Formats: sequence, C-alpha cells, structure tokens
Amino acid sequence: MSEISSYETKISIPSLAQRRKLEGAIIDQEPRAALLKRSLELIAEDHEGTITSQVKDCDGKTIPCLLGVSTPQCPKGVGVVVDKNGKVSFVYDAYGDDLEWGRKIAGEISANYNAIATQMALQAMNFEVTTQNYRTSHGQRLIQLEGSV
Amino acid sequence: MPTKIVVTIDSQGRMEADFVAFPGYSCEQAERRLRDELAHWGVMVKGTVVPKTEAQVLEELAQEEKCTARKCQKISV
Repeated sequence: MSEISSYETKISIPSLAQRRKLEGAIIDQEPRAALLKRSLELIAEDHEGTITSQVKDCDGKTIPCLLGVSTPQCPKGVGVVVDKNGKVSFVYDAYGDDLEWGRKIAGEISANYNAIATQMALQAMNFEVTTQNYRTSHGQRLIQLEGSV
Repeated sequence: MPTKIVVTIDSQGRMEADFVAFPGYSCEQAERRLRDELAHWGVMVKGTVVPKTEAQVLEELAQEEKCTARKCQKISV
C-alpha cells in the first residue's frame, strides 16, 4: 500500500549542546554541524547576505549564538542556538520586523537543513535523488526531492 | 511502475513524503527507514501517515503513463 506522510520537524544536534561558537574542528568532526553551516550559507547566497558570528537586537546589543546570517531584509541577523539537550532553534529580534523576515529566514534555514538531510537519507536508502526548487503562486518556496531506483 | 519517494519541504521546514508504488508492507518499512535516516542527520520528525486510497493509486498510474515533465529551477544543495 502506498502512503503519504506529513511531518513536523525538529533539528537536534546533541554534540553542539555545550558549544558557544560553530567554528574550527567541530565543522570537520561533526557532519551535522557542517550541514547546519551549509544551510546558513545557502540563505546568504539566496538573499545576498553574509555569515556572521553574532546577531544584534534593536538596541544594538549582541545576542549570543553559534553562527548567524545577516541579509539586507534582516540586517540585525538570525542566529542559531542549541539548548542543553541539543535542540536547535533560532534567535532574532522581531521588533520592527513588520514583514517577519526573521521568522521567514529561520524557517528557510530549517527547510535547507531538512532538504540536505533528506537528500542524504534517500541516498543512504539507495535512491537516486533529484532536487528541485519551486515557488507557489503565493510566492511560497517549496523544495522537492525525488528518490527513485 | 518503479518505486519512488517524493519529499516536499515548505518554507518553514515542514515535510510531506509521498511513497509511490510500494507494494504491501514495504511502504511502512520505507517510511520507518526514512525517519531513521533523517534522525541520523538530526532531523526528528513527528507526524501522520495516511494510506492512499484506491482512487489516488489509480490516478498515479494514469499520470505515470502521461509522463508529463515539469520544468523547474534546480536548488543548489
């Protein structure tokens, strides 16, 4: 019987739980850390942004994070944080962000991470994988991966 | 019709996986394996699995015969 599964997702990387920065050897040693960094790099490429080591709040104060990305639409940046259990989440100052760019970019980081992880997962299942990027009529971005034998 | 898995990810990271042409219980096994492999990469999923109706399966078969190609921009992952 064929089926359709719908998933809510959470990213968990326990090995990053005690880390303050995402840099140096951990990128080489922990493939999931490299994947997380790549997810932010894709945002920087898509939105003409830059990878940063910190993000700012509306008063200019630094918000600690492992790694961040700053874009023209969200100049204060969106950062990645990992709690003591390894759960990955995002920090940004939403004050004045009427178009919710912070939330959108955080979602796109998750989507990029999930897309690369799905590509790896399907390849591990011996599927040939093709990846396509769509935009719906409402402008929403969709990533579609097809694994076929 | 060859088996395939089509995963669609929306802009907030929500995922939908379409398991096509898996006979019998192999579909459940593939779904479980996909979840396990995603967990290996740190993606923990929670959701629902809905078996396709006979009509959906027949529609898939009909679409396969048409071989309609969709042109889309490729993502750089």
